[in-house]
Amino acid sequence: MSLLQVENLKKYFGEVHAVDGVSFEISRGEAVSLVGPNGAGKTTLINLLSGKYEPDEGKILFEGENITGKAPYLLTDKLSRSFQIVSLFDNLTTLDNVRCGIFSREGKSKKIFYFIDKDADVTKEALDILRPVLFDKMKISPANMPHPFRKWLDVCVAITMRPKLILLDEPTSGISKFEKEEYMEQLMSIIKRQKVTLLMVEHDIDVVIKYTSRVLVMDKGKLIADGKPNEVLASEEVKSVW
Amino acid sequence: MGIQKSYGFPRSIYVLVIVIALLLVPNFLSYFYTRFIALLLLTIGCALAYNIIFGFTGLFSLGHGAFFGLSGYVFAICISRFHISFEVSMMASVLITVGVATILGVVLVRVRDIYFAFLTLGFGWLFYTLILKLHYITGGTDGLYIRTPQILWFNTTTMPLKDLTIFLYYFIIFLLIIFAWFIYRLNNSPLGLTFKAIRDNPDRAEFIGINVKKYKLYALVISTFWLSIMGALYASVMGIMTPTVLHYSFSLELAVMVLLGGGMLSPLWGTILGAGVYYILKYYLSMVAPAFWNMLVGILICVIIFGFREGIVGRIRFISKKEG
Repeated sequence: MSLLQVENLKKYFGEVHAVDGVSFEISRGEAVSLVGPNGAGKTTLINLLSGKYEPDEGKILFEGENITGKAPYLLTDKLSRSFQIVSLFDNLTTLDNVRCGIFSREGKSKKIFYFIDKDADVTKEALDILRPVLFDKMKISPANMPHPFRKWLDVCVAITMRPKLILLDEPTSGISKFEKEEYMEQLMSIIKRQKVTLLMVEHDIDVVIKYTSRVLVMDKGKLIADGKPNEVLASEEVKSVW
Repeated sequence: MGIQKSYGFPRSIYVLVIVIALLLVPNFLSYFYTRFIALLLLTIGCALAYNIIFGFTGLFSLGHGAFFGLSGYVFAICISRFHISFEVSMMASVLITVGVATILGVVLVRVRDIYFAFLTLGFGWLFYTLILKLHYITGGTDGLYIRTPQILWFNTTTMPLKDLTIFLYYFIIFLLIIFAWFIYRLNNSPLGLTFKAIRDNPDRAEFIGINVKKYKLYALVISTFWLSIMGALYASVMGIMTPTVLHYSFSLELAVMVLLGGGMLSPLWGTILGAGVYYILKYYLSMVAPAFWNMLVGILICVIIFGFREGIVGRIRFISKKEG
């Protein structure tokens, strides 16, 4: 059984057919990229999968369970996501951004008479996630960090949910060419370590070819190609739109 | 691990000194000042309760004055009209106020930012008008006098007013210490962290598994619980309830206190400081310049707010950033 199964998904915003009858499947352990020109409906698709929007039509099955239209907070153990435009808790410290997620995952968010700092396990896990990139930025708030660090923290917060499928919306946008490779290596090592299935929206063709084994191409709300990166990206139809 | 600097109670010796000083107040200061400090402490309590919804959770409520007043009126009606004892009246006022807040909360948590403010304003106005117009129960604009209550096993009904006030003064200190400790624990707890996450970014909070509506309701219930205790105590110290406390201007004053002290950064000491400074300033300015005190308070607020980074301006930017 496939991990994620999407059947004839549709989302219209008035006249705009943002997602228009998309169907595909993702198996456990795959690393899939989602590409396409601006306005193709990639982010809308991610928003539909993660529960931010309710689809007008179609079904989303996760391990056979229908999760269509479920609220995002009910889905985080199955799939979690990062954001194209970084979305963080800007007045909390970097460490607390991650710890808040861990407390939520472990069902400890409701505790009042419980010192955050005394929970060594949670703090250790948070430090382990943050250490590779943000080791010297634990105590500052993400509002004061440069963009690549913020982007990384956004991904870290998604990873703390320990999902089975992670949806990354343009994880490398705004990151310079020189930093991109190191950034992706770090990211992929965490994803491999946690055995997470990956679906990411990506614009950089090198990243797509190097780090993912399958690519989905969207244009005008429809899925126009699906297959191995080298083959798909060489086809005339894909070249004409992207 | 001492990674995060925890706020509040860093030097317990100072806390001890403050508490002892407060306990000695009735011995050294006149009845007038004892009552003044009792009301000051209640104002601090209100600001701390307001800060749970405002500073922690980021919801700008204009209806907390109404919850406060509602609790005070329920207390006053129980004592004066039904001759119920102090503790039962207090429980009734807390239960009814929290009950009303929970029912309204189910609607309130569905909206955010400016809509939340206006919806609470609407509900607050409703209660204000109700209390004003139901004058055969509430006394209307004349207010409702409160009989001297029977407090626990103490013989309070025959006490002179001065002794009763001192008695209530100690009771207020006792409750406020518990409340301050509660805020300190909340600020260092996962629940407090979750509230702050919702304040900063409710959209992202949904994506880390937080049921935002449910937690907003928790914040509202906890906040009105403490506020209603303060309301009942206020009624018993004042000896009279008037509808003015239900007016939205009291909620605004609470917000100003929190902002003044920086209650968002330091929920315990910031709020205590803000409420204390505001209350004392308001009192002395109204003595020095009875005609202009409102204006002076206004100017002072402007000056202080513009001097702080986390002032009203930062707050509006913060809220509009969330909107955008």
